Amino acid sequence: MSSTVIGSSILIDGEITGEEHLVVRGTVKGRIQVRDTLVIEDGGVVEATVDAASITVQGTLRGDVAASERAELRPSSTVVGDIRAPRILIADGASFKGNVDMGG
Amino acid sequence: MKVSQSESTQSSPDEATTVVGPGTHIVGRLSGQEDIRVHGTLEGRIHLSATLYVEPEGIIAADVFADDVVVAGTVVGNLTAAGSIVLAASARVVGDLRAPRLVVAPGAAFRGQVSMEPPDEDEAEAEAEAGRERREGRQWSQAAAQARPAQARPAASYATQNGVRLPPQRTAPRRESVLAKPSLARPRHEEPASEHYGEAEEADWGDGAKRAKKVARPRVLARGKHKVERI
Repeated sequence: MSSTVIGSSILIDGEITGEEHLVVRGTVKGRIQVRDTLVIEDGGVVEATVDAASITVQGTLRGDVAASERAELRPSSTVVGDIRAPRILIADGASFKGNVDMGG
Repeated sequence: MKVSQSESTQSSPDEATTVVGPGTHIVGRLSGQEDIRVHGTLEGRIHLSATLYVEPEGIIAADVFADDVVVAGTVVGNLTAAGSIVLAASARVVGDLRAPRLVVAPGAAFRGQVSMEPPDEDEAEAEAEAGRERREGRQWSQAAAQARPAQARPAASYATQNGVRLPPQRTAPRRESVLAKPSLARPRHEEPASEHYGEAEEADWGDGAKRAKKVARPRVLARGKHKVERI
């Protein structure tokens, strides 16, 4: 399984682009653009503009999010920013502040 | 929470390593305290207190500071390791290597300098100073730019000395060219034509000067005189 993992002690300030599964356990600032699923795991912090096919947040996300398929906010997640996705799942316990655009 | 914790514990064996997949491109500054395996592309600057593995398909275009570096892929940039640098047979490296221990396998391609002096705290300070110099470099360059003209003035005076020699040569041909046109016209109008040109020019010059004097004199003197005469 080809995937990219950003470990918990890693800090990236810049831009991540890719065509494969991306798991963030550390900190990423800047911009993320992936054509597959982005998973921000518990403890992961993303302060970036995110563009992905599918997004799953268990950690912290600050920034605008655009998902072509779906965005999911798990119970442990904290999200501040606008979300644009055709399907959005917000679990009980998730913290979210921002606008939601499901494409009407 | 329990679900996420269980998932994180499930993934804990892999958690010690960061993996950059073959289809991933990261640009920017990267720092951390865990091993990184690069199958994709990393560009920018890497500070790592662990081991950086550049896999055969991995590409790194960055300056790297790490405890250990193992290269089986491509690196363009300077590698600095507190421990060791290993260039495997498939490694392609362009840049300077600095590490107390260095292993280069047969088949590895490498171009650059090698220093085996361990990166001490002094060098960290030197790097910090280098960073300061980069910041202050503008100021230094400005100071140098301000200082250089003073040094360049003698050169400029030489240039003007050369220039002093040259302008007569430049102006002389112009005069010659002005006279040369009449001289070309001489065969048609013969010598008097050139003299007419010269006289006409001198007359123009003279008239212009006289007119200037005439204009200047009446403005200053005539008013007083007129006033005096009128009074």
